[in-house]
Amino acid sequence: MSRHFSEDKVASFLASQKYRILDQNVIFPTGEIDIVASKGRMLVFVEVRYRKNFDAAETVDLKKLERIMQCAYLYTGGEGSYRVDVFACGPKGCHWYKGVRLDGCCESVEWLNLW
Amino acid sequence: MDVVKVWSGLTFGDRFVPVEIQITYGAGLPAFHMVGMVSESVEESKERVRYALKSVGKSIPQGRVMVAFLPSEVTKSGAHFDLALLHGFLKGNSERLIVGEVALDGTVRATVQSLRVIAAAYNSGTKKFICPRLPESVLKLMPDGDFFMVEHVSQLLSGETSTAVEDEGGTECQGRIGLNDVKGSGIKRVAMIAAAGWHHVLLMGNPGVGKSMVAERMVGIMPSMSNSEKLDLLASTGTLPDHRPARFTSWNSTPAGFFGSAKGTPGEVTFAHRGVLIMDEFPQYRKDILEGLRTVLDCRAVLASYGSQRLTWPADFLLVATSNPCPCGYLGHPKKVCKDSPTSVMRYLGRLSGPVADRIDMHYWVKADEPNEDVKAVEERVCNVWELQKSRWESEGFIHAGHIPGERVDELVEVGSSVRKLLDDSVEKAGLSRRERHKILRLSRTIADLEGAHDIGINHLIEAISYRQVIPWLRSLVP
Ligand SMILES: [Zn+2]
Repeated sequence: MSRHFSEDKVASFLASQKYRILDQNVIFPTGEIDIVASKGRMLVFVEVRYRKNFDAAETVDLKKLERIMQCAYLYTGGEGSYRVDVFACGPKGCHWYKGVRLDGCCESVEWLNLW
Repeated sequence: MDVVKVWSGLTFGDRFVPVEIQITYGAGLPAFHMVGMVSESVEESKERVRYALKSVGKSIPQGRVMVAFLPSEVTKSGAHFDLALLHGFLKGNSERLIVGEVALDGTVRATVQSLRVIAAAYNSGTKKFICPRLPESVLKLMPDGDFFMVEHVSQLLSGETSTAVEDEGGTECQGRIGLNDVKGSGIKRVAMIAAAGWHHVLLMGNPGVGKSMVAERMVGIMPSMSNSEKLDLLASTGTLPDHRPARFTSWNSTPAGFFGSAKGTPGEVTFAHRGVLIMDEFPQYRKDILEGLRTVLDCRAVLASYGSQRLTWPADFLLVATSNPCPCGYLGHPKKVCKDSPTSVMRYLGRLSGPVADRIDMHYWVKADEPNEDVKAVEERVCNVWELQKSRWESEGFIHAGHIPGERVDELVEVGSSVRKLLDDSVEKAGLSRRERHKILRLSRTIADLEGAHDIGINHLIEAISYRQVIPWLRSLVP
């Protein structure tokens, strides 16, 4: 399973949840955002991680979060409402961390059987 | 948010400080944080906890796990918080004090630090524990304790306690060496008096006369350690020797090794608590050690401050110092001649009259060819004096003649008028200080007690005075 495969799976899952996929693999000076989606007025910046042997979420440290937040800021110019989601994927499925904040806490976590 | 509370503790000197551990779970990317002044040694327990959970088929809960150690102003160090953390993850809250290091495979181990925490906590009134399996000798010291002992983390889940008792064998007096192989009746008597009344002693003599040999044997003629003495030693050092400690130190000791370090390791003076501390080549010790030793001898404890916290280590040892009479060692030798200049000898002897020497009651000149007679029933006589002196002065706050503070000697050691006259005359003739007078009185009391005499007699006083004459005699040998 490749990185792009899991990103595509996540993108189609989001689409099935009535999200509009605006962009994929957007490159910024501070890094890359895997998926930019929107639902209503809310912009969603999505980081997709895949690891075969351990919890992919552990690879998202506070530094990485900060970079994603900077990209989101550059994309939106700091205007409008937006949030950051992390999909931590493994061979059996994904954890969807919704609304992750800079300190690593999030609004909710959901387990998805994506493949 | 769920909060799980368990509690553990740490030691500060010999004092127990309870530590509350709060485990909070929250939604978020996986993280395992520890807060509350945790040192690296506590940080390392994260990995041990992770693996130990794996050993029972569990893992750290998903999400953000925050572990807070309270009170936050005290630095937490040591590996003994592992078991408390694991209990928090596996079983949740507990009102018992939880102490123990856990290996990667889930085995629970008793470290020196955990033994110290358990003993100090018991001393301060804690009775219920979850801990590693403790040896029978340690359990015996805490008869009121309720110990849930676990050898493996899995027992936290099963609730089964470890009942197997370590077989230690041996008898109380195992390994005790008396004075039998010490040669010389004089030195044996000095050892007996010093041990009986807890009088610090300075043994002087030419090289090779066996000054330090007797020192180690003095613990062998003292009564066995009481449970509370053992518990104090366990709480402050984490060690439980079979018999009273005899600690040998050398002149190149560092202050940290000698008195203990602020980080929490006790020094030699504490390892020698309620035993003997031997200072070999006493005049050559560093000045800062000799200076510090004065307060330790007066307080019978090491008082230190660490940040804003005051810290106390027990250090009630019997000091046995040894010294040559001069730099070359041969002053006073029957055949050899001292090659030192008079000034260097006087400077050397001068170091024996500093603040520490002021607290040494007995001086003795050790000779190679003393007559050697057996001293009978030494242990029994020493034991009787201990009981007698304890019953006499315990209400005053001390249990040995050697503990009587200078300002109370005249009040607590009574002498008849004829003895007093001889004492006053001798003091005046020799120009002795008040301190010297107090030492003579304390020693006379112990000597009289050893002889089973109610009143201090002339012969007791004369013997006591003889233990103050070594240095004046050596000075008289210098041209
Ligand atoms: Zn000499």
